[in-house]
Amino acid sequence: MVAGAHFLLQTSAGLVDASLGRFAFDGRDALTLVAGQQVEATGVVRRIEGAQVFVVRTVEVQGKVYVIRNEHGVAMSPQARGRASNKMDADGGAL
Amino acid sequence: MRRGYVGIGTVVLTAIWLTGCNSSNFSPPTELIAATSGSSQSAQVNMPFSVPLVATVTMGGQPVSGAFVVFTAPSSGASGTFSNGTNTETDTTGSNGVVTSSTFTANGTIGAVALTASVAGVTATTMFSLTNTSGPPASITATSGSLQSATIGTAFGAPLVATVVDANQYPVNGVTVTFAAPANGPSGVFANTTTTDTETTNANGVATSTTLTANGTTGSYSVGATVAGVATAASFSLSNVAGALVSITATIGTPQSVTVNRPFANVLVATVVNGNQQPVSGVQVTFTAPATGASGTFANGTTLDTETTNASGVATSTTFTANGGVGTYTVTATVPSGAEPANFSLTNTAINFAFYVSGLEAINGGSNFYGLAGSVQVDGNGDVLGGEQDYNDGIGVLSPQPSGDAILPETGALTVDSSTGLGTLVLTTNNTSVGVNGVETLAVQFVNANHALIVQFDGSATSSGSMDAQTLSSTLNDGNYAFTLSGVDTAYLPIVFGGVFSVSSSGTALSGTYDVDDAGATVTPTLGTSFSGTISAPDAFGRGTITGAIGISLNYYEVGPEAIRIIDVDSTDAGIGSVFGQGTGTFSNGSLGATVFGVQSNSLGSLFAAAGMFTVPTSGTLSGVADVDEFDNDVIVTDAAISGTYTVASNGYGSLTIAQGDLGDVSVLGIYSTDPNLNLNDPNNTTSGLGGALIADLDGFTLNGTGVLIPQTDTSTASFAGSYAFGAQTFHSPRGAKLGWEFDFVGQGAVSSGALNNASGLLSDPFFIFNATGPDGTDTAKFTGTTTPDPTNAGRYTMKLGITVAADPVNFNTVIYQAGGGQLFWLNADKTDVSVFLGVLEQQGSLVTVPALAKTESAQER
Repeated sequence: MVAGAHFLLQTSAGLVDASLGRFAFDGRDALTLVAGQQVEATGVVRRIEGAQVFVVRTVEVQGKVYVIRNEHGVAMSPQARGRASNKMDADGGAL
Repeated sequence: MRRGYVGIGTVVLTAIWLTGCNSSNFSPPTELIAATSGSSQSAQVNMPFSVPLVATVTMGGQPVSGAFVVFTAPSSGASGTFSNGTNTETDTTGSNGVVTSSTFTANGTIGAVALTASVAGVTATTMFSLTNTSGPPASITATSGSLQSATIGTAFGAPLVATVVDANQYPVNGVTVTFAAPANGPSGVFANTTTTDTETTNANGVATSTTLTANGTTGSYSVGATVAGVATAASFSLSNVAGALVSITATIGTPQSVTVNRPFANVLVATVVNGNQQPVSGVQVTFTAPATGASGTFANGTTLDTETTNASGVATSTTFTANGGVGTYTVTATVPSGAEPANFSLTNTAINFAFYVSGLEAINGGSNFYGLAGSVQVDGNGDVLGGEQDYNDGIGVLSPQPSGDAILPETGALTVDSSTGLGTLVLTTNNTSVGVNGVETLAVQFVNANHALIVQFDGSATSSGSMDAQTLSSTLNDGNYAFTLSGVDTAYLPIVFGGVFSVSSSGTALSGTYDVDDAGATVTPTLGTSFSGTISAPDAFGRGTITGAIGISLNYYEVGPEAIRIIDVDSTDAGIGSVFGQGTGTFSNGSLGATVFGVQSNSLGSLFAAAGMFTVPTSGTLSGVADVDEFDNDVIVTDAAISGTYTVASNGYGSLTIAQGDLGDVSVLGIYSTDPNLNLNDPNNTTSGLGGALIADLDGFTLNGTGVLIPQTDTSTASFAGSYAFGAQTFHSPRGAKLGWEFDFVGQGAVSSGALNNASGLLSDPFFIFNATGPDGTDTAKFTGTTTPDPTNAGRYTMKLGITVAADPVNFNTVIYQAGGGQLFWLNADKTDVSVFLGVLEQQGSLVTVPALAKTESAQER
């Protein structure tokens, strides 16, 4: 099992074990989830220790996009999210 | 009466005369007497001679029977008496012509006795030579030499003379007289340089000593003269007096300095001469060190040492060891005469330690990357005298530049258990953003007097690193170096650097080649980039700057000529690492042989650690076994056979590739070769664990880290025994209320028969991964485990390590790789764990000179 936080995502294909990593619920732009809430997640499915794990990159909740891992799959610490956000603000662009 | 003789003789003479003589040549034979025995005897006065006096009377060759023989001794002087009580007696010859005296007894006068024996009526006599000798020694007296005085260190003017006489006051010849001077205090030595001298009496009963030389102590004393059989010794009253002309000078050992608590290189040597500048032997020289403050002790454990000058006038102290006080002081050498003391100027210097740690910060909005490097100066008592440091968490909280933080004097302390080497170092800084309002506490576990494993131990952060005694210089040495650096980039994503470079222009310029794996930048690591930079001269704490290199601002702290710690001091990124010298040789694929390695991410990286060992079947290839726990990637591979290739260029820059899939995602490592005479984990250790290389894991965004390669020199289980210091940086699933995934520990214990039993240490757990950790995020811990040697891979062991904080034991499945008996890596990597750690076990050396060996085990317990 991938270290860090997980949540179970009910999809049309069934329940998916989604990995959020160590930082999702901590610090600036921390993710907030409520059971039963509809979310949209992007990422990749990896087979780890014989089980399918959805390694989440972003989670969109009520229109807000939370970056869990960067485009390279590196878990985004709160500080990293902050840096990315600052850079985005400075660049005037989107993630 | 001669009747018998006449009758017989007539007949004989008649016959002879008729047949053999004529009237012209006839001469009647005369009687002759000769001493037969008893001559040349000696007897003590008034004692009988052992045998009687015997003479033989003959006439014409025939024994004369019945002849009257008169024995006569001198009537005066040395003589004696026969049994008749007089000096003469008459005896008659027997039929064989022999006459025997009665017992002759010596009179009371010693000397030669000439006795005569004569035949009555005949002029012929014979002589017996006897000697009356003295009796046994009855007394011994000091005849001359007493009541003398001599300047200390000089000879007395006259020898000591003793006379031995018998009960009749006759001198006793040929007996041994022993002259003995006192063994201590005022005294002297004879020509044999000892305090005793044996001589033999002459005919006058006189024994004369050899020359006696006064020692270095003034005062009066007696020298005895004894002879066997006489209870009362003769006594010579002598006196050693001060000599104003004796002088003493410090010859060797001044000035000199040494680090506190350590022995000075040279013993103290003083030379004593007299007024003629001639060396004076036998003088007691007293070396005296200050009783308080900066000082030291001699081999006897005190501040005083008394030695005696040799024939060259030289007195040599025992080894002098500095105490814990810092400063310059004078040790004096004095002589009893009161001459001007000789002064030795000695200096106890403080010991400087360079320290560096990296880990996870728990304050300032953390969990943040945490890097801290600095230099602290302590005296031998552990009192902090000052220092400097640089701290950086990469989020903009860092030590001000260019000054860094000051470590304030006299407010901190190094306190260490004398038996285990475990303790704490408290540093008070002028930066309230670090530690607890600027006060940092590090747990220290000394491996030896120059090296300690350390962790942050105040709840403000948790981290692991090293503290090493500094050898400071005014510039960095020109030469070749290798380095690695691990931290976070400007996007706060993990980044590692590794490379080689040359320092030139008297330590002011550098240029080289580096690799970088930056999770926030490019998809693949950037390899082989050239760089250059400028180095400033180190300050008094060995701190300097490196600018223009690898795109970041670095400060450095010297450990020594070939070991330097570096820290990123930019406000937007952070990192920490080491630089090691490469020595004077070149490198090649042949530089690698049997090897043990360990590599680990930093605390903000994609958490992982790996360790293993390999051999080099052919130059450029490797084959071995390794373990990896990729905590964040959820890849755990244990006891994995690995193979691969490597290259090492002549400048020590190289790479190593483990076949894809052999060891999880660990595949590409940069190699940065170091001096084969350098111990990378203990840079001041020049005797064991030498050689190797720095390495950087360059596996791209999801895996990077730094580590070392160490030559594997001894895989025997017997060598893995003794007292070990250990430590580890552990990444663990967060468990506490505060997000944080690291704890660190150091400790010490004995490994015996493969078991580490009840080792104790200090554990930093500011994120409360252990249930029972103290409220400040620190605690003591116990460590227990038993190793199981890998039956197919000598030098590899497995162990279930139990870590107990209070009553909270937790087991960690651990694999150990042995570079040698003195140095091993341990890795926590197991599929059932939610943690991974990498650390070292280092065999402990002497702790005798560790500063502040004051804290007891019980006092250290919380």
